[in-house]
Amino acid sequence: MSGVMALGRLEIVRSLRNRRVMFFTILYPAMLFLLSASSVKGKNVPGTDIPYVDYFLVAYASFGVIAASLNNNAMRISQERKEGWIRQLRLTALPSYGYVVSKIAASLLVVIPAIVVTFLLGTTQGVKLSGEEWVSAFLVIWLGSLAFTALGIAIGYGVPQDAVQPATLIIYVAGSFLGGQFFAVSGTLETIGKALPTYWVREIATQVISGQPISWGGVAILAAWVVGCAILAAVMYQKRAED
Amino acid sequence: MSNERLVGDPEVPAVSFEQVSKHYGPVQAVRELSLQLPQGRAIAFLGPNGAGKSTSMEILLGLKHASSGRVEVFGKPPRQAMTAGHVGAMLQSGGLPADVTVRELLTLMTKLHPKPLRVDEVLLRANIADLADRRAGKLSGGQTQRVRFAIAIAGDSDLIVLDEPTTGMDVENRHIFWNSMKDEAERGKTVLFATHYLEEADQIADQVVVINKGRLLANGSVSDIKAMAGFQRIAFRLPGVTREQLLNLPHVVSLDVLHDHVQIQTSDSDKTFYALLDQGLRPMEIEISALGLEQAFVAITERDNGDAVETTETEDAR
Repeated sequence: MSGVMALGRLEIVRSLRNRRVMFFTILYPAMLFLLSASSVKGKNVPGTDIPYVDYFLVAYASFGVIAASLNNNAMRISQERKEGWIRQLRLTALPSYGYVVSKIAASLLVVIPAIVVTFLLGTTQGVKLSGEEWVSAFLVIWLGSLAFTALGIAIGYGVPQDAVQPATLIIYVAGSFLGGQFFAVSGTLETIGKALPTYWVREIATQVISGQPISWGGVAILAAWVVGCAILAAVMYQKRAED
Repeated sequence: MSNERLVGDPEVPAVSFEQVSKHYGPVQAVRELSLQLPQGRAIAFLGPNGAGKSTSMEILLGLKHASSGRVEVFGKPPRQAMTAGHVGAMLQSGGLPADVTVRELLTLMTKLHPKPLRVDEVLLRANIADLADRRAGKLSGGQTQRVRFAIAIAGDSDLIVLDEPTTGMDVENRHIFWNSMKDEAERGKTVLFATHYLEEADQIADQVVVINKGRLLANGSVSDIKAMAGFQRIAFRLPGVTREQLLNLPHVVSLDVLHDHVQIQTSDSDKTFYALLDQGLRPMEIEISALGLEQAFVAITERDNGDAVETTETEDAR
């Protein structure tokens, strides 16, 4: 287990050192949040009494989380497969699950600043929540990141190496668009969005900060994504075992 | 603690292949390879490109499964030997993460083995103390190879497997590297290395294993291999000599006559040479020498390829 921890620690150091990861995880969502928040001051999401600032707080915190967990894992795993780093790790006493476990553990830590920074900025933009609401929103987004981490691992192992970057970017942008990370979706967009983890992470987090009942159906869909992607990742991992 | 006893027991081979085959679809990479490598030696693994060297190494490291046959490392299945810390390895494509320092990398590696060396000791043994704080992505090709060697020895493992370790190194670096390898062998480690540089095998190896087309071709000391190839070489100058005059000499394997210069490969240089003198010939500038390992290697793999071609033709004819 100490080996898995050592690898996880190094994974975290590497992510924090990577300027591209930090940009897409923290800086970019924070900038978009500030821009969006300042343009909707005092307005509510149409048809609701949820302040648009609150909506964007959750939307952009989850947007950063998606970048940290989906993009970071998919691209790094694909790269490390290509370079032979994964093979090198298999020439140690590290258990076979160690690499993936360390990626998951590192992701759970790396997404934290993405959430916290946006939340801190939120307090400067007039978001007023109870302590319990802050914590609940944090937990929803944080645990929801597992779906994107698992998807990232599945893509990293399963998609041909030269297609990983475009595939990831398409999923990242389209998923965020349909999930309502950029603006509140309605109509057909929302119908499609309701099948996606991007939508439900944001939606459930919005529900917990606006005193609405939680959609347990959404929780189930989100959980199904976590489990489904985890199984997919495990299958892909097995398939690539002799690469 | 039976593991300790096994490794401690010098009778248990470091590596044992029994009738091991590996095929990828119709391509047969390794064919019924049987091989036992004793502990505590430096063993060179030779073979032309595509001979099955890398595949055999990947099987013994547990990266690939044999299609049939049995592989044991210190009496255990490969993966188990790996997790017990018996094996350290450096592959041809052991890419290093570019964004970590050499020290961070080696610190990690020592934590991924059950009974590692200290990081400073690894740096020293691999001759890379000066690279400790460099990012892996900033290293030259030769430096990267040395860092990868450091990774292979970080676990203080009993068997060190190196696949083409000196590829991309200049001559000076290669010599430094050879010394590190020799030091490990002198510490009682079993060092198994695949190489293209026959000089490397000649200088370092106690034992040479030659494989060709997935089969074992030869396994012995460097001098065994040279003897197996045949043959010594007799060269001399003899004005006016003709090929016909020399054809009936005993033990001759091949004969080259070019103007006055003659080269003979023979399986018994003494008898060939005496017969030459008995014919009343008086050659000049006589040289009698053993084949180098390189020539020996070429001779036995070529002979093997020749045999195989004949076999294939026979099969086609049927």
